[in-house]
Amino acid sequence: MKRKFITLVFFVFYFLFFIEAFAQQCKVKPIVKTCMSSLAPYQYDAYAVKEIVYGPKIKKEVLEFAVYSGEEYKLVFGKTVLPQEVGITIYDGNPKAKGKIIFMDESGMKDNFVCNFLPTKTGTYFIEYEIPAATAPNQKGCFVVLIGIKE
Amino acid sequence: MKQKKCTMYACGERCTIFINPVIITMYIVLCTLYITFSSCDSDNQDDTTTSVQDTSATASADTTSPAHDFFYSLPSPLVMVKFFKKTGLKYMDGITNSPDNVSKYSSVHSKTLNLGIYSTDLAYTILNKQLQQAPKYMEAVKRLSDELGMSSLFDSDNYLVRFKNNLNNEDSLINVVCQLKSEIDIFMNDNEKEKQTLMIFIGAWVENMYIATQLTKEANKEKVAMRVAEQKYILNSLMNVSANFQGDAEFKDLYHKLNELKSLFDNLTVQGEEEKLVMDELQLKAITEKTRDLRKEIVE
Repeated sequence: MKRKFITLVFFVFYFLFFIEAFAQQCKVKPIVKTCMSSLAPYQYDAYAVKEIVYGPKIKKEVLEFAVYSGEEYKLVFGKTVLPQEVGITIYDGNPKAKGKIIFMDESGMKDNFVCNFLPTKTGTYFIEYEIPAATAPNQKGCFVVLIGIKE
Repeated sequence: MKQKKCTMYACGERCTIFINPVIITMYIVLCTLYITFSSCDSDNQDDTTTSVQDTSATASADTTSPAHDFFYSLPSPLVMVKFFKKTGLKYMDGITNSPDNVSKYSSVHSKTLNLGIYSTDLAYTILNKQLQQAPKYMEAVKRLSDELGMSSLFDSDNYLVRFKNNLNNEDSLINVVCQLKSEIDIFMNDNEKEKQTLMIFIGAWVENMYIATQLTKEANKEKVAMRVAEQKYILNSLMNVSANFQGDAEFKDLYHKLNELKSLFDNLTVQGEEEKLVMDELQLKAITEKTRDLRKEIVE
């Protein structure tokens, strides 16, 4: 009986480990492929991916990307694979310095969020995303941003 | 035996597993224990990193930007070339790295950097309608990609064949290149090839800078100089990411040279509320020479 129990414990922990390892993998390709249609007719430029780990409290994180002045940009945010909505604010500079808000997604929807903008100067834009507190243990997800440029 | 169905979701993927009810019971008990311990652990971690105790929905001051967030958000060669082309830069035969040089690159380091160089050359020939040259650069890109273990990418969607079949249609060529770029980006992410992604970008950026600075005489110098000056911001982003690899033996020399170039950009003055960058003749000359030397080291 004891032996059976130890085997079971071993199996269950192995199973838990497997679940966690599986959940940690961000399967980017299907998300990018899905979001690509929303990017059209803009040309694909680049993408950024971020694994979201929900914690006990709300937290904010930042993702940066380079832009060229005079080019029209379109961003497509793949949020549908997140267990919980993530708030998005886009700044034309560092939000801790002089960065001004150019977009804010307050829809609260988990659909793909799309925005367009025309930078007036070359530089770094910041995407600040607000991650809500976890509603379940070890809550994780993938956040993908596709960057497109007008032909 | 009676089977119970358990369904779980992770990153949009779905899998179904059948498990014995005894194991399910054990699993629930152990799950509870596991969750209890892991939750406690994360609570403790949070206490050590956040000085302000907060129990509600107030955002923490934990604003970070780890290096890996950058990797797929640096501009593509096509966008970089397009950016300079708008200033009136014309095509100049022989300014790009000859596709015949592709066989010279033997180390992973040189292959990766030159994959970036040829990516820019490919974009430069397409956007300047050099349809005789473009397939040669596509072949050079394919060869280096193959040698770097990415042959499946080209084969999966017949990129080379599609490229050659659409030589008379610039938009189609651009589409093929954009699709290929997205495949390479995904491959790099899936295989955690962060350093290689960065090196490809460096190669592409240096080649683009080289072409632009060498052609200033042929175009509206003031416009090109302004665009060159704006590369300061791209280089800053590049250096932020590169800093993570500065200890790498192979990368050290390249990092040092990029840093020298960055110092030249740091000397540019900023004017007005719009923070317009101003670059004089001497500064442009210094940047042109430094870029030329760096590019020479990569391609030779």
